[in-house]
Amino acid sequence: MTLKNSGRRVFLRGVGGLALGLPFLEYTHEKAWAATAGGAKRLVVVFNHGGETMCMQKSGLRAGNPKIPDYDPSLPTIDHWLPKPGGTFGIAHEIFEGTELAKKLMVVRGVDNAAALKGRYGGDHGLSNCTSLVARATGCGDGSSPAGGKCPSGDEGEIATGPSLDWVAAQRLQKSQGGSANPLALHVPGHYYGSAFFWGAKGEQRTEGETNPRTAFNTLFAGVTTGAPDPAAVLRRELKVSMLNGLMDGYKRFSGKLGQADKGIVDAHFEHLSSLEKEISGLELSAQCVVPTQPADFKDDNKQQQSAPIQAQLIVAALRCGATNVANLQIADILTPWAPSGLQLKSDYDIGHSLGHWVSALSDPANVPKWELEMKENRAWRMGLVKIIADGLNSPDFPEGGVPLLDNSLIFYSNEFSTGGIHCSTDGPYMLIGGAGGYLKTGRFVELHKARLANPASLDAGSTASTNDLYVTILNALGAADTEFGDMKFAYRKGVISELLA
Amino acid sequence: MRKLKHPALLAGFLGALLGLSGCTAKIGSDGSGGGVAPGAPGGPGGLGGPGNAGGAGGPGATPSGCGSVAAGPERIHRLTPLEYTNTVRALLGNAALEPVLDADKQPIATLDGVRKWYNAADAAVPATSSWLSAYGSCKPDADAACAVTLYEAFAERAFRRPLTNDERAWLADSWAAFPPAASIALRLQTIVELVLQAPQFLYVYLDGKPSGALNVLDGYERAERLAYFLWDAPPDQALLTAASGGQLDTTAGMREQAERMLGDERAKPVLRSFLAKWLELDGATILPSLEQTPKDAKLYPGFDAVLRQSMRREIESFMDYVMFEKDGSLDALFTGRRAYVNGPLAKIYEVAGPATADDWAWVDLDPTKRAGMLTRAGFLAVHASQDVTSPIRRGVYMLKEVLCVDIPPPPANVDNSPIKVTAGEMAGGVKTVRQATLTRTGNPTCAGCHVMINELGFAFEHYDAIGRWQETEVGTGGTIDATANLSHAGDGFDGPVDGALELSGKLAKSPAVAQCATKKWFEVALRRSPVALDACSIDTIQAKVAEKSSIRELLLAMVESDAFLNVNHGE
Repeated sequence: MTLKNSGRRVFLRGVGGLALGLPFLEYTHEKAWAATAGGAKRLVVVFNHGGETMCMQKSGLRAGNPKIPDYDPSLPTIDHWLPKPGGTFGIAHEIFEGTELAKKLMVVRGVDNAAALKGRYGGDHGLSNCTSLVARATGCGDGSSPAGGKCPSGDEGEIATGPSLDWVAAQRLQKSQGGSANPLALHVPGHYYGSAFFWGAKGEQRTEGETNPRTAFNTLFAGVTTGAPDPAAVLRRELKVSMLNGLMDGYKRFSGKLGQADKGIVDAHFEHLSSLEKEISGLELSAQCVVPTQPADFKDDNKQQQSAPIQAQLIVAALRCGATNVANLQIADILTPWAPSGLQLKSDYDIGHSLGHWVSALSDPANVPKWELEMKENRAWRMGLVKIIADGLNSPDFPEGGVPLLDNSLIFYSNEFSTGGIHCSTDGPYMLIGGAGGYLKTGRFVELHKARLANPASLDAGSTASTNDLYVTILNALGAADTEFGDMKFAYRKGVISELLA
Repeated sequence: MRKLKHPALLAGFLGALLGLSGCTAKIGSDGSGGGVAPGAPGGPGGLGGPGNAGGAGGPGATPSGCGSVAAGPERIHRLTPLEYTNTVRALLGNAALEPVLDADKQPIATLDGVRKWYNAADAAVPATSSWLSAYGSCKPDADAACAVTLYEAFAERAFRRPLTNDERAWLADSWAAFPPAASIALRLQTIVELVLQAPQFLYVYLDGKPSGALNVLDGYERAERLAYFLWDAPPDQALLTAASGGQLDTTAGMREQAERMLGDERAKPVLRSFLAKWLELDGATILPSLEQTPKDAKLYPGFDAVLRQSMRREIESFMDYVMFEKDGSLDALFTGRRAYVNGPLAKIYEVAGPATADDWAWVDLDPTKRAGMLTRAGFLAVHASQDVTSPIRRGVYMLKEVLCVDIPPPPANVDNSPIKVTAGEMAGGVKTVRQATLTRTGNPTCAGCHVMINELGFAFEHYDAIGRWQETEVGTGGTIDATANLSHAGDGFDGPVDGALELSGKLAKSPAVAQCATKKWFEVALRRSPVALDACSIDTIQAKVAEKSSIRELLLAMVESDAFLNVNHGE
């Protein structure tokens, strides 16, 4: 069933949409776009703020820092992503091993965020966040150039200079199979530096995501029922669509009297209204769609333990209903006092990432196991959210072509630092879940770090792929034939990572 | 490295240059007026030109003795979340509204932000139209003409000025396009939502009337700028009446309204917020807010949520005291000892006061230990580490925020972990935080900046990590040395000081501090940093501030300035 959007003024979409859409063509048709390759019909990007815990590599880090190259040999070299005897996936093993999902999971590591690595000291917070999913050098939000490698307003002032993976993927999937060109963006709230998610051609178009599941639900499913649509709700939706068209008309008129700089600001607002209008009017209900119960209203951002699982379930519902082809879940850099063992150590900054910094300050060896336990449980909770999404898409109750939706989907679990405590942008560990229609060979751990292939305990640098290469691979898994992503001067492979393919 | 010596007026403007040049600059004014040439033909920065003289002044935009009227270019900007909230509350007559909005920090709105305005409007506008009686007496239920009257009246108030013909036509087109099946009540609800997302509502774009290179703001635009500057809220009826009656076309009329507004309760949150931001109580890059700054629970067991909130309230009350009882005196701000305290705060300050956290009273703080805003516990707690003082954080703050000197970022490979100390002698003979700071920053790469930073920070060594007075250092037991030699800090500051009281006394009389405060208020008033074209406005404000040494006078001079009364739409 399809909801009609009566009241729309077609001329606005035709004229305004075309005129304002042109600058984005570079990104929607970046290179050699064509629908072939893999068969994933949807993508979920989970971005994990705060970094991971891996060993303290010897090089490729903060160039020139006398403290970093050898780090402190007396400190433990904890590597949560190194598969332990009897395990396949490192830390992910504890969440996924023995489940149905283990066969559909691939852990990859040895991938550099080269756009950050080539920048200041291997990637500070803003730089790493703004490059993680973009694979381009960053800029400054106030239009200035980074002076001395730093934006005048610091980490928070850094912006991406191109679209992120999720946005590009949404354009590709919209082109190949219709539906929304906007990723659904949800956000487990809390502290983080900068942002990882950027839409469109400019970093200013960043989104941080909706934190309240109730609000996200209302936008996604207003007027939608699992059975026949409620006529009153449909009328309300038609009014909203008509209002948004009226608003776009108003922005167009208003923009006409402005100078170029102001016009750019107002025209970008117009673009967002256009996206919102399409999103609200264009929801196509598929046979998979079961509208969930309206979630509780989480006005308090400190209820992540309760709200985050609902957000994960909402992503599942939105994907099943075809409300979006791409969904993002951004998990802030938060402590998880609700983890089984609670908080083990006092943090300098009350944020999860600072736990990483503790590695350099754990003067008392007795603190190391406490710190490690807290880090593992914090990360396990985050991976648990991924598992909720994966389980939901893997449900046999909602088959697609005879297989679970997950088999035709891809979940990408990403992060800003391989080693949070030292802001390390090299050697990133990532998870890919779902077969992408058989494009990827799952159920395994793929080491792309050449030094560790010879010696799993190696602390040397040795990644053989960059995020540019990984994102080209992901786009190909979605059926696109991209040969480039981001700024290819940061690419190591100049193409897909063949080791990941089936 | 070249040694810069520049007037403090330009400290902010030339911050980037200073940053590139290292940390050997002088702070303070030598009175030369510096690189901007007030009164030069064509005005500063070259935008003026002969045809500009007086042209942009119009009624009330009195040239301020700088030759020609000039102002830096400004961009359109959106209502802040607070302004949006206050405005929607005023429009809908519902003070309980708490819209959830995007932080919205970048010039271009995010899709998230647009979605949240959409949701906020949906949640705010009542389903029934009875509330619209505030905008007209007719009954809209079966009367479309009445509905037009009501929504146009609402839009006028929302847009803060009379509607244009084009806007009336646009609203009528939108109304006509609504689904025919929708009732008038539903349509009214929807068009009000439209108004609350319209660019004329969400954005502040002051058009003005062309006059030379600038545009002179009309009365409604000046009312809007005044209201969001001094109240974070939309113009009230008195302001709109003043606008329509031409009162705001004169500087005297602007001053009269500003004085009225500063005496209104709505000004208090703005003034408090300014001080909280100036003191960075809300945090800054890599600096947690007062509510989140971590403290060692063993060393500071009483530093709980109640005490944090109390510290903030005390500083806000201090701003009320300075503004409303001391006429905004800068001297009172930097040296005043009146404090509004409850039980926990009385203990922190070691004064007789209320016994419990719920009881509050005004007291005088110890004149040998406290003087002004920089010796208040909330500020000192934010600018400290988890367990001990932080001369570096405090010194950096002083340079950047009180003296408006930009300093370059630390080298990429700097060890920026908090300084840790233990009782007894540490490696290298270090015994105190002061000594550890000097050791950490003593190498030539660091010393260029830290010779300024550290000395300013050392003056605050008598205040521990939660702002308590200490004669011996928490953690080490070492004897406190709060002497500092400000020989590198600049004109007007050169020479030794012993502790924060002496330093605060110097700051209270410093032209550099008054200039820095002017720059910060300018940014609040006009949502942009001053540029060379604003030099005449800044000079004029400075002259008035110098006369009365008062923040109140600063604000009144601000609203009379060319930069405030005009707009430059130059790209």
